[in-house]
Amino acid sequence: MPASMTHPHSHPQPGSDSRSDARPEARPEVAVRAPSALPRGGPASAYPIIDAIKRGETPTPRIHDSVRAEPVILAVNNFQLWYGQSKALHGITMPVAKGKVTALIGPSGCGKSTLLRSVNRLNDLIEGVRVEGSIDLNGNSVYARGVDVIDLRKRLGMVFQKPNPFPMSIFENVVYALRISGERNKKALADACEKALRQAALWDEVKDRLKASAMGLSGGQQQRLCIARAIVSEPEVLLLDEPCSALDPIATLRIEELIHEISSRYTVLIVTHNMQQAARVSDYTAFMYLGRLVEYGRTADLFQVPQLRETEDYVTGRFG
Amino acid sequence: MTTDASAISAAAPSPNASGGPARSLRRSFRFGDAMLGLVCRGSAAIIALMLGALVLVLLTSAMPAIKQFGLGFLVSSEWRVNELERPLKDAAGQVVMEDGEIVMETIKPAFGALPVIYGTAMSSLIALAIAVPLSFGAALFLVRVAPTLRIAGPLSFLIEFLAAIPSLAYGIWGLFVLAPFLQSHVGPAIKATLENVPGLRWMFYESVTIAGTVVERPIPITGRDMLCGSLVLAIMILPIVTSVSRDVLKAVPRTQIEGTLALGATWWQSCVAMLRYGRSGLFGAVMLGLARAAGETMAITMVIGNNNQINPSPFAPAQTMASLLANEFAEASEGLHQASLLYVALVLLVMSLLFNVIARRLVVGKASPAGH
Ligand SMILES: Nc1ncnc2c1ncn2[C@@H]1O[C@H](COP(=O)(O)OP(=O)(O)O)[C@@H](O)[C@H]1O
Ligand SMILES: [Mg+2]
Repeated sequence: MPASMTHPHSHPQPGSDSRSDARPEARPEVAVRAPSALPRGGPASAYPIIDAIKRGETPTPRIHDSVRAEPVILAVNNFQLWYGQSKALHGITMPVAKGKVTALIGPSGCGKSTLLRSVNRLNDLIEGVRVEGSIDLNGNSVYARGVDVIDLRKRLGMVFQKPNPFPMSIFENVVYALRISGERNKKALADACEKALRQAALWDEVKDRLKASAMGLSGGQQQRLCIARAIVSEPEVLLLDEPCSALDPIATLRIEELIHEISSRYTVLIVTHNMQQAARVSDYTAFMYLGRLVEYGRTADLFQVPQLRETEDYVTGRFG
Repeated sequence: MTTDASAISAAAPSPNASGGPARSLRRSFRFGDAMLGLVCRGSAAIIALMLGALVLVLLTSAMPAIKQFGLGFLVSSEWRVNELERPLKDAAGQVVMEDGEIVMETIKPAFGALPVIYGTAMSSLIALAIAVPLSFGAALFLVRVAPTLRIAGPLSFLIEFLAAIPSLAYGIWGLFVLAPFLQSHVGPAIKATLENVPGLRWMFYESVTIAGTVVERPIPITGRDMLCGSLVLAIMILPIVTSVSRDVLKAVPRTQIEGTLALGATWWQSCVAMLRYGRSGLFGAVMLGLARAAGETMAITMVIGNNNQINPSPFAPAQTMASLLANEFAEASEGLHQASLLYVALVLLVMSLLFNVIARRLVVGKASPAGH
C-alpha cells in the first residue's frame, strides 16, 4: 500500500466536468498518514486492545466526540449477532450520522458485511442467525416485534459487492422497487427512472437504450445501475457493501465520485477493505476488528490523528 | 519469513533450471492413452450410429406409407385398416341399382395420423398445464423452504424415486384406481356442474350420423378417456420437471434473490424474480416433460380409451401416437398398415428429438442469462 495518496479530485477525471459542481461540500483533504516514528514494541504488548479482543473480551470502543455531536439517523446499540454457535458481532454500539458518508473498515471477516446486512435484516434469511441489542432507524426500532421487514427494506437501499442487475431491461431494473410496490402510472415510473439514472450518473449513457437488457452493460455501468435501482425510492440510508471490489480502477473512481454526489441527498454507510477509498469518500470511519468496534471518528482524524495505536497501524498498513 | 522462503527457493536448484539438460516438450506416444481414446471415440460413435440406424430403419420401413400419403399423412384423419365395401351412391345421393342389385364400391385402406397427433398434443398439453405449476411450486419449495425445515434431502430423494417407478405401475394405478374414481365421482360431478353452462355442451355430447341423420347423444363417461390419460401423464412427468426445475432454481445466484429482497420484495415477489432469472432453464424443464409425455406408451395405452378419432371432449376416449403403436403393431399385417404405423413412429421420434434438443440447449447451453 502506498504510504500516502492524493485526493482523486485533484486529477482530471473522465467525465468529472459534468459532475464536479454537484459536490455537497468540500471534504478536507485526507491523506493516509505515513508510518510515524513512534517506536514499535513487541507484537504482543503494542496492541493491548487487539490482544483483549483476541482473548474474547469486548473493550469499550473509542468513539470520538465529533461523532456524538452529529444528528443520528441510525443508532446501533449493543448489537450482537450469532451465526449458529459462532458470534460474529460483539456488542456494537455505533451512531451513524445523518446525511454523511460513514465507512466501515477492518480486516476481512471482521463483521463489516454482517453489520451492514443487519440494518436491513437480510441476515434474517440465513438459518441459525440470532441477534440481541437494537438498531434504530430514525427512531424506529428495526428488530422490534411486529416490524414489517418489507416496509423496513423499502426505506433502505443496498448495493452489493458484485453488480447484480436483474435479467430485464434497464428501465425495469431501475423501477423494480416501485413496481413491486404497485406503482402503475407510466409517467411516474418514467420520471422516477430518469431521476434515479441522472443521480447515478448513468442517464447520458443509457437514455437511448432503456429498453435494452441490463446484462449488456459494462461492470461499472451495471454497478451504477444497481445504485440507481437502490435510490429510486429515495431511501433513508444507502448501504453499500464493497461496491467497487469487482470493478476496474476507472469504474471505481466513477463510483467514488458518484458516492460524493449522492451523499448530498442520502446517508451512506459503506463497507470497504480499501483504506484509500474510505479516506476518499467518507466523512466518518469506523474501524472494526473481530466483530468489535475499535475506533470511530471523523475520517480525517482516524487516518491522521487516531487515538489508538491499533488504528494507526491498521490504516498505515502495518498490521491487519 | 518472506526472506527465508525466497532464500530457500533460490538455493534449491529446480529441476528445470537453465543449467540442466532441457527436457523435450515433444509429445511422446503412450499406448494406454491411445487405446482409451479409441475406446471412448468408438463408444461415442456407436451412440451416433445407433440413432442414425434407428432413423434409417424407420425411414425405409415406413417408405411405402411415405410414398403413398406423403405429408398429407399428417393431416388426414382416416384410419381404415381393411378394405371396405359400401353401396355406390350417385351425385344425388341415391343408391345406384343395377339389375335389382345394389352396386357396391370398394374403398381402399387409408391411413392418416391427425387423430393421434391431436391426441398426443392434447394429452401432453393438458398434462403440462397440470404438472408445470405444481412442479414449479414444488421446486420453489425445495429450494427456498425445505432447506430451512431440513427436509430438502428426503423430499428430493422421494422425487427422484417417483421418476424411477416403471410406467406400468402408473398405468395399473390409473386403470384400477384413477379411472373408476373419475367414472363414479369426478366425471358425474363435473357433468352435473357444467352440463347446462352455455358453450360447454361439446364436453358432454357428441354428434353422430346414424342412418343418414345427425343425432346428438351423450358421451358415456367411462373414466378411460382423454382426461384420465392426461392426469396420469401429468403425474408421470411431475418428478422430472420438478427435479430439473429445482436444479435450475438452485443455480440462481444468491445475490439475485438478496437483490430483490433488499429492495423490499415480498417472499412471493422474490420467487417470481427467481423464476424469471431461470426462465430459459425452466422452459427446458418443460420441454423435457413434454418429450416424456409425448413418448409415454404403457400407461397411456391403459387409460386413454384407445379411440382413433378426434373429439374435443375430455370425457371422450382418444389415442396417442404411442398408444396406437402399442395397440396395433403386434397385429398389423405387413404392407401399408405396418408402414403407416412406422410412419407414425418416425413422426414421434422426430418430435421427441426436437423437444429434447430444444430442452438441452435451454437447460445446458444457456444456463445463465448473465452470459447474454
Ligand atoms: N452465512 C454465514 N454463516 C456463518 N458464518 C458467517 C456467515 N456469513 C459470515 N459469517 C462469518 O461471520 C464473520 C464476519 O463475516 P463478514 O461480515 O462477511 O465479514 P467482512 O464483511 O468484514 O469480511 C466471519 O467470520 C464469517 O466467517
Ligand atoms: Mg464482506
